[in-house]
Amino acid sequence: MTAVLPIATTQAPRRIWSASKATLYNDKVVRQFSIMAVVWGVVTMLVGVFIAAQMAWPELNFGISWLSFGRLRPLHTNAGIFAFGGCALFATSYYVVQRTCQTRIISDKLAAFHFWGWQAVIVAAAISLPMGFTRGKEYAELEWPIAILITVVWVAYAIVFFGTIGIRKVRHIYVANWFYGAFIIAVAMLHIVNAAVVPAGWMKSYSAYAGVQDAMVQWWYGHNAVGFLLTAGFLGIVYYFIPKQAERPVYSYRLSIVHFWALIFTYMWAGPHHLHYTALPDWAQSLGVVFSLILLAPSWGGMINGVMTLSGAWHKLRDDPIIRFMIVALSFYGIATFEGPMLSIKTVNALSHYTDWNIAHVHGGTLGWVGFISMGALYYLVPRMFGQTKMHSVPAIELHFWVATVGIVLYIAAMWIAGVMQGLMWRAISPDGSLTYTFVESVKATYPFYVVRFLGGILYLAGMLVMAWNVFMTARAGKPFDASIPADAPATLAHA
Amino acid sequence: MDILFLLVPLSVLLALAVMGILAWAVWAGQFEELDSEAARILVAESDEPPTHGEASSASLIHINTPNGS
Repeated sequence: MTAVLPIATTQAPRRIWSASKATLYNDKVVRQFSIMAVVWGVVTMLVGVFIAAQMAWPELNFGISWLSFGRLRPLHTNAGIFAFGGCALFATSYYVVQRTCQTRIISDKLAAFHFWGWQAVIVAAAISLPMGFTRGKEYAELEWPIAILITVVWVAYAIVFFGTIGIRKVRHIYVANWFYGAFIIAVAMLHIVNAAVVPAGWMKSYSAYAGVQDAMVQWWYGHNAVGFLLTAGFLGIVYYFIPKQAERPVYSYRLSIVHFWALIFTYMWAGPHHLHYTALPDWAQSLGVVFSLILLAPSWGGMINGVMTLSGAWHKLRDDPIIRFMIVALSFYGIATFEGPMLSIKTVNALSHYTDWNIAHVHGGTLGWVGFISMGALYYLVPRMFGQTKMHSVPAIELHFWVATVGIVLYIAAMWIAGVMQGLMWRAISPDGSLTYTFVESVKATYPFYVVRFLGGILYLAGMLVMAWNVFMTARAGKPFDASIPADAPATLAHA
Repeated sequence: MDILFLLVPLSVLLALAVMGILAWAVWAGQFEELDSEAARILVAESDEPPTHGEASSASLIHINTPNGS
């Protein structure tokens, strides 16, 4: 049942500032971050596939310390989260904040500094991590000089983003900007608290916290990085790019606002679930469980809201591979946000923790949710950034989607089975009270699943290479294009 | 667990700050007229390349209503 709503009923935006001199959006920084998101995506997936192969065939480190799993694994995670994910978030947030505020960003120079500064951080990570420089904190490995550079670059980003919201020409702040804004503020706070160290040389430092205190800070950081970078930021993409690609408003804009505030209020204390059965006080562990369980509600509310945006136009799911990337991303968001609270329950955690089940959970979130929503948004952005109406090859998008989907399914299914098997083997006790299996027996039993995971990774990487080719061809066929800001937005609205 | 004396107050302060921002947003009228705000992003045509200019398919937006016509 469909009603047709003429746009004329749309309230004209109230002008807050007089027309600015700039008549174009700054799409250069969007273009730069978009391209680098694809480049770093290929890099992180290549490293991921390589270390996945090392899990099955350990001799692949060739006895070279630079290629050892312990050094390449943090390179893979940092490249995935901060290089690929970061660049996708920066590109989309600059695009969205300008369009929804109908103004150019406040400072081109600061944005350029953000872009080049961030690339410098990534290159520094790619050099220092294989060399063995690390703070030893998961997702916060980079040593203190790089951590300081991150802080400076992040402040520049925050100034540009919030400054642009400050000079907006549209009174209402669109919901996607709230998600991006929360991501920027939370990551800044988490980074500063967790990066507190005492330097002991140029590339060596000791944490300001000790023992379980340090563990608590680390997982307060670690889980909120998942919550605000890998979740809130990418929900900003969901609430702008799905409506745009589907050409329909969000199913319930009210629910999207409730989704935002509920997520912001409840996320901060889920972290202790990473420290079940440790020296962390029991009440803090239980607090972590409670908040994790509460999070299921806003997460699923948001997922359903995003999927239902297609309501009445479900055929787009069949016809448009870009929308399919986005909606399947939301499905994985739903899977991950159901699995997460379940894994946080202490009895489930007793089976799952330290097993490959966690690897399945994380990659459902990263490959399925973060990866697919970023790819969908990039397929939307790239043609527009080069003055094209669509990607060079739509069938290639189709191919990318199916290859990557099969890859994820292989990956996750293999790691789910391996994880549960490991958990059961480790806890199995013989009638005489001794452990039934040695640890190495569980490693041996996992071998075939490591091979399947490697194959899944190959497929996912192959999809990304198809994308890189498609992006290159699209960029080559067009030329850099900066869209113009609507000269008189109210008049545009009135005539429609 | 001295660290909780830092993290818990920090989180409480953050929650209070978030509440403050929510209060500002409500009083500033950010959450009025939500339906038209949801549709507005679909009208800004200028992010399309010129070749797209004529295809103003977004001039009419189909939305689902429980008792639609």
